[in-house]
Amino acid sequence: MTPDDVDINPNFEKNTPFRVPSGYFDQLADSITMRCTEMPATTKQTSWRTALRGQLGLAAGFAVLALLASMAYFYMQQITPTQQPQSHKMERVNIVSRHISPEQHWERQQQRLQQQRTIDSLKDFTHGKRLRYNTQQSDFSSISEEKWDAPATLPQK
Amino acid sequence: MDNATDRVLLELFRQPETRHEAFAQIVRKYQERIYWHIRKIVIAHADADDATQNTFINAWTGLDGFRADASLYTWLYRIATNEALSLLQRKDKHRLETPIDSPDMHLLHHLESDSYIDGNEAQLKLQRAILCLPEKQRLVFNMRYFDGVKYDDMSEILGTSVGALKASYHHAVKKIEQLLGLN
Repeated sequence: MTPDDVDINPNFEKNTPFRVPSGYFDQLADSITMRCTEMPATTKQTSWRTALRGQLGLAAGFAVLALLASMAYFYMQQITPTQQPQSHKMERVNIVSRHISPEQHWERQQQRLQQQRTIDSLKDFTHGKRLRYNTQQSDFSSISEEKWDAPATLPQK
Repeated sequence: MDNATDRVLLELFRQPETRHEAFAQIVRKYQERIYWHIRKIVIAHADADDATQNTFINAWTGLDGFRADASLYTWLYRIATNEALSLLQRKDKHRLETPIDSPDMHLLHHLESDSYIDGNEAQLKLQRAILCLPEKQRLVFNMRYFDGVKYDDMSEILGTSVGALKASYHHAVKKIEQLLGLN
């Protein structure tokens, strides 16, 4: 157990060697009060502890909400796949595996378009209906055909 | 009696017409105690002057939120301690590298060269030994030995238990005796 107070050797000095300029304390209070007077006047100020407590409470509330939202999201992610019948999923996978890739589809469409342009240029010399085609700026093109009434014939040179 | 005076001063401070005069009274009442407490930490007069003024300016801005359940004296002491330690941190970034049992060289330099230090050899020797203590022990020793601060008040100021403070003081005394060759 440590003693409540330990007596220091009486040879120890009770005074310190520190000094202050003459009249220092006489002018110190005036300096301080003048600096405080120059500061912008504040009315009732909330203790920094109270302000911090409020902000911490708000932050804690947001954190709890974010946590609940994440938990709900992950919960939904987990239950959603099991609600789909396995056979449908497998069937969907099979269907997707038989599709061509978007790049291949785009290539085919381009080839078709080129063929149609060739045919159209040839059809200009006939009285048959034209094929209409639409080309979109997206990855896919769609072609809508009208029934071709007359066979294409090569222009006579 | 002292607390009653503080309560009256705080009441006067909260009224706009008597605010400045009440604060001036508080400064005059506590300026010397606060100054010497800080001076024993920072050693140099100029640094103590800065920290003392900053202490009371912080008190001016924070006094409206001061709760009367703590004493004004311990509240001011706590601000003063933090100001003094912050000043030392700012002034000497290498303080943490000081080896154990060696004095803080920055403060030792002030002890040897400051214009407002004038004491006999015994006083200087004691101050050099105190500078060899770890920061917390130095604080506890100065407050207990020179200022006579009660352990309960010290606990409020430093945020440390009374038991830990007593142990700290005990170790500080033993260390100083060893450094001065008295044991």
